[in-house]
Amino acid sequence: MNTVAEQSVSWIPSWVDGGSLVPFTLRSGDHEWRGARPGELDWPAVAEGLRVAQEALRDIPVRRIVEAVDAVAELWAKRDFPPRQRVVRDAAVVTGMSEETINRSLDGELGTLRAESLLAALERELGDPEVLDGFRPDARLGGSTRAIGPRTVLTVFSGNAPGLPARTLVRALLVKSTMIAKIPAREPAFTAAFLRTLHEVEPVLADAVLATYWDRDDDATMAAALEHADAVIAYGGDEACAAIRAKVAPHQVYEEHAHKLSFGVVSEDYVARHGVAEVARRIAVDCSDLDQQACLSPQVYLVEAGQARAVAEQVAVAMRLAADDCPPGVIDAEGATVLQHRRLVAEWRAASTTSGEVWSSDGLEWTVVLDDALLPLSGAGNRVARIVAIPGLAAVVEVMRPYARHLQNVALGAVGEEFRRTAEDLARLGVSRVTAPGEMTRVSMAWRHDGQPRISGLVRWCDVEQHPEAVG
Amino acid sequence: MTLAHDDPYVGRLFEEIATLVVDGRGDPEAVHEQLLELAVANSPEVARYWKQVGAGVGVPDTAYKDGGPHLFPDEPVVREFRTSGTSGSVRGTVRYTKLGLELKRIAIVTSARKLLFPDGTRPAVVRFAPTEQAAPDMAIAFDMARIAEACGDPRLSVSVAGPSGVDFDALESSLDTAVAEGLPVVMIGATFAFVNVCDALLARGRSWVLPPGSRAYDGGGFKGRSRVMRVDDLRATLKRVFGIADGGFGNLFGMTELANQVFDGSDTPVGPLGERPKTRHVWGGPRLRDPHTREIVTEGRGLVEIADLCLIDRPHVLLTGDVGIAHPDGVAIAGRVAGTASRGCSLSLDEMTGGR
Repeated sequence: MNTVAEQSVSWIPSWVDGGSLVPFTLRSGDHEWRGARPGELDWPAVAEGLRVAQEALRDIPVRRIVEAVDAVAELWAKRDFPPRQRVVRDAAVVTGMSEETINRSLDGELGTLRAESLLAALERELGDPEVLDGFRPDARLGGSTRAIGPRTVLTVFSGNAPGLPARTLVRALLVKSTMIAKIPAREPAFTAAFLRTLHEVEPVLADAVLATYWDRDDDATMAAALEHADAVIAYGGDEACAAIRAKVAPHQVYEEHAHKLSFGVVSEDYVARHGVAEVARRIAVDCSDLDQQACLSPQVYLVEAGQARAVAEQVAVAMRLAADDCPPGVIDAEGATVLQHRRLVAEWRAASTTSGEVWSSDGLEWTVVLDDALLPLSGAGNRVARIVAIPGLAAVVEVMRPYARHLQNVALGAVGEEFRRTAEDLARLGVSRVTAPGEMTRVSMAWRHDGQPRISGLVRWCDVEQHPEAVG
Repeated sequence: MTLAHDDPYVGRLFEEIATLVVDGRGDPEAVHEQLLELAVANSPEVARYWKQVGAGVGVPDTAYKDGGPHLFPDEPVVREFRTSGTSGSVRGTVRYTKLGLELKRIAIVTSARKLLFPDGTRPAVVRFAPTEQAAPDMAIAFDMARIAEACGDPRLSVSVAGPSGVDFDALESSLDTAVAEGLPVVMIGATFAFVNVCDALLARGRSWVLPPGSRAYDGGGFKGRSRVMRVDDLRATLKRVFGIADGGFGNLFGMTELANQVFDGSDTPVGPLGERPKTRHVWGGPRLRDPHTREIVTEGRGLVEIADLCLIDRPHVLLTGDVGIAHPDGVAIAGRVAGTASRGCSLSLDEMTGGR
């Protein structure tokens, strides 16, 4: 076994009695990490500590919270910041992704934590961010209004995108909630490292968070943590989320990020406007970012038939360049078996149809599949760009309809009226984000994550109206 | 140039294969090469596929969901079998010409005589599979009927799988008679059928100590089933219900796309459920392809490819869609290649559609 992290993967606030903690070892493949969590009987004391921590947090103006997070993000934005370097090395070991892939993911996530981005998100969802500090006038109400975040949010993270926990952690702090965070087993080091820096910048914020790990089948710890939460946020597969949802009580706010599917779409007019090579480059970016492991990554790019082959040929060139630019990760034995099988299935399909073709690297670094039917599937993940020819954009909605319940992100390469019409159709179908090809994994903080407001979704409002004291 | 079914080349190839399988005489490598040539000559799809991925790489089983390659399209089809659809909801189809089906018959009967009934006795062959009449498009019904005809006691051999499940009265009566007459029983059927039959018989409080020499051969494993059982647990249950002695068990690996069935090469547990390694025969058998390079490997894990020299109606190398583990005694078949595994909230399309 190799122990990679030099520091604990847990973040335990300074007010916790260290003697009550239970050490644990988190194992992933050949590696293990050390951490600690409160003992089963110590959660009431944790809850009381979080209550006191929230009193301190409530006194910090929201703009100060924004400034503190911005300061941390600025430090972490530098690739030579030592805590970031350690996190990147750890994440590479456990995810198999290349350090460059992880660095790019962190660049994206940390960019959303800068002050301008946070204020944009707050203003978009709350109007006036200072409703989090006290009553603020509301002209349309004819009174004043105030937003109160939950006392404690319990978040269960899953780790398919390095740095992902930061987004949810910061949203909770912005609404002045404390948090119990179950860190992702597939990326254990980031959360605690980020909180250590936050503690140096603004200890009151970091001391409002307890981040640790417990096994999925550790029902006792889950129940103890859950009992003290006013809100629950779950990331993970459908089954994992359903298991958490079943435990949530009616008084608890619940936010879920379960299984999601994303697609790309490209019209002939879009290709005419931007050129085949540029469109292919954008598709290759989407299929290569995060090694195509994120829920935001495209499973398939639907391309109008007249340009599908030309685009696919160029995507093969662009995938090779993308692999040179940002090395693909190490694919484990199971992943390699799945990918090789998928390639051979796709090769057979291409050989037995007149329109299909497969391009690939000599190894398993990247694959491009051209087909004229969505089914049978050749899979996605590990940089498989699947280009499926469609007769026209009108077909897009029907192709995606069977997956409507799980739809998330669509890169819509279309122009003018065809863009507006298709975006409208996609919105009605269930898509929660429409973006340009090449931008699929570059998600802003202001996006209503999976279709719901995730800042205002946490708060409870108090309006003062029909009262002379409230006006002005 | 396409080779017709009545071309002397095909006729000679048939004779060569039959001699190889029945008498063990001939050169398997030469037959392999001729079958490759036949497939390339008669199927442009196969020629294109092998040009891309390398000559002789197994054609994926999914090919048969779209009809698949058939090397003699102008020759009448004498039999069509449908796949079970366990690897997805779409059922595949394979077609046999007269020569092809005769080769399959020879293969099944020869292997059964050599490997399942080597002592030449004719036991009661009890099949947990439907009769050919009840399921004419089911390859396993064809195979088991041939085995029973060739190797079984004609009076006591029986199919106990009826249209509404297992015919327990027929099963119990057959076993009671065999015990009374001291005739060994060979039971053959789908793995899951054995599990269900044992559950039901235990619930009825029935068990037997079958005569010495009785055996049980299961096939199919647990793919697509919610319940799985370790090989040794299944055998312990069979022992309890039927009184079969140690050494009386075996597993068959058959696929509709193949002519032959593949047999255990030794009784060593190798796979995650204790699956035994499947051996190679003169007519072929399983090998592994390296997931990274597609080269044949003799160690570690890989994609299972089965060569079956008794197939002349379609390419004789099949990529089964299974993961295998190499062992000195053969290849343990250790489950289906999974769909692309989801990570966290990321979901792959093929998981949603069951790999169709």
